[in-house]
Amino acid sequence: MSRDLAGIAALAAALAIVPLAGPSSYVMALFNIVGLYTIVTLGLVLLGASGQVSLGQAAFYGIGAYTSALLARDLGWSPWIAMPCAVALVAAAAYAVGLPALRLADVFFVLATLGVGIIVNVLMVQLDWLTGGASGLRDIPALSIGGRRLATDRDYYYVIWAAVLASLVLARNLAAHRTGRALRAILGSEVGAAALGIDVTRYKMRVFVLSAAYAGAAGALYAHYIHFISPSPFALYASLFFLVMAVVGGLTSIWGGLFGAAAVTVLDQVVRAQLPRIFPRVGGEYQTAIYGVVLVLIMIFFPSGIVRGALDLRRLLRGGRPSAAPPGRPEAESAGGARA
Amino acid sequence: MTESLLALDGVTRRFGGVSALEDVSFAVAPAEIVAIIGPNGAGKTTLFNVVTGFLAPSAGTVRYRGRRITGLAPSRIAAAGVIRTFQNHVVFGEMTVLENVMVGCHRWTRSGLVEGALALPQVRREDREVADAARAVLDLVGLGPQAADPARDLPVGRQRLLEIARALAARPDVLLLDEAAAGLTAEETRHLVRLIGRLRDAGITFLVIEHNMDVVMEAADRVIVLDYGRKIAEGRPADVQRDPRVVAAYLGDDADAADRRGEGPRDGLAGVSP
Repeated sequence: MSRDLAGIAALAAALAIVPLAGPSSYVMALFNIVGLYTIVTLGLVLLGASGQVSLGQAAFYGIGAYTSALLARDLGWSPWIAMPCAVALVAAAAYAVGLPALRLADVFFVLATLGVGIIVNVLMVQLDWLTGGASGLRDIPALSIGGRRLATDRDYYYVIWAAVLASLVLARNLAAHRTGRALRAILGSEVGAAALGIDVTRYKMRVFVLSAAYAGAAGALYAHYIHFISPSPFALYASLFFLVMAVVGGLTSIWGGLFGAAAVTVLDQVVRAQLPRIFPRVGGEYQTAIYGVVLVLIMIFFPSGIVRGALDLRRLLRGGRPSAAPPGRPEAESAGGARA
Repeated sequence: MTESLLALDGVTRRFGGVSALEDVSFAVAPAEIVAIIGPNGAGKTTLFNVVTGFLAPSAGTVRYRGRRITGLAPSRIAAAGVIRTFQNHVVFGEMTVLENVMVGCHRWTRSGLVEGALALPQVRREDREVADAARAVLDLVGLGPQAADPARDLPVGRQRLLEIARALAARPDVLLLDEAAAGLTAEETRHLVRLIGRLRDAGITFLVIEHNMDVVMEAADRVIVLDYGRKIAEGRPADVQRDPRVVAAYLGDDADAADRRGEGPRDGLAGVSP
């Protein structure tokens, strides 16, 4: 586990070097988006550690963005105050969603988060007086540090990636200690976990609220970075996108969040840029088809995500054996079942 | 029996029209080793499920330290000190053997999500304590050398030992072992019987479902026999073994009944003879 900390330190060093190479503002912006998506995806990876899946992360991302934007723009709060308040509101919203939803079986929990995502997105469009409706909110205040207003993509690069590093450290710590063990035990067997005194529903709630808070923090940063928000980036498609990132990266490791977000975002950019050159007459819907193909290929060849897949590949090349099957629900348990 | 640690009173559990448990009452004293025996389908595991809260009884109550625990969530009952193992190994396969046992320490540790995320000094101290305690328990059951292995790679018998180690790591007051020695080698079984004796001397109370009559004879202070969900006998192992009702239940004087239940021949208990 301390290898993770070494990895985070190496990442921090690499991130410090990137701006020195004089990248274009397009590359800086790409890094920033990957950073924001990494934070959202890390929340999903934490959630996945306990075997849960959410299709409502874009809603939490959006609530974080709208709340911080409104507090800073309309009430004149400092963004540095508005953002934590937005995260707190998102956490409270997730708690309110979790109370009824966590009573449901896993599949229905996913559907409940999906429903919440759709409702929140509809509200963003319909609550015109608050959200500006489909045309969104403009002129969201920028962040400033020590009286200096952050203006360039490179300025935000430092802020966003500092937040990513902090998110990684928190997630790694969480996974390494008592709560992380309890969550992985729940993934292994809810019955077994309960028999050792772990309050399964409570732990699921905690990690669900935490994953929403991650999404909310990323959303708040996004609003102050882009200065403009509208409902469309927070639609269901975005929730699916985040889930794809988490699955592609792998739900078993905090690195899944980073590599999943990076791989899918870069793929997205490459497809957007290259597809019209190869097939000049096809439309945007082919992008979706290409994601589909890539996702299927990854699931076939790296069922535990690319991070674990790469580790297995390295081990294979060294002549070892791959780590075992992907994590998932073990076979049905009969402790609650009928007779002995 | 005023000073009983665990007391069942008229516990009944029906599934549809079938009674898996019918009016079962008994009490367990502190540091006692009680064996539950009976043919397959007698209701032994159902009894465990009711005591540990995984099943609600249709009627009757379970008391622990004089307090009614019927209807409490399994995690609450476990947190109170009543810890069980499962007949069909429930190990956390993706975790290592050591981590499995560390999960067992959940009951007596306290650090929460925020402290954990910040890796505060007391969390790290607690973790070291938990790892040490887990290693000690693994050595106790003889799994020390496999501490770093993924739990799913253990052979079946060793998974049983891992479950017992994990339960012990919880520092239980009452330990319910479902088929404690199934899948263990003769050597491992002897070791387990000695271990149970030592732990009882340290104050742990045992409720054990066991098919191996040698183990029951050697380890148990008292035996409770279930058949068709009813308690048909209770007493010292040697007395119970000679009880004609028990002998009849095991040897199947009514083969028709076994057929009705859709079971094959009842699995005999080694060592039971008229």
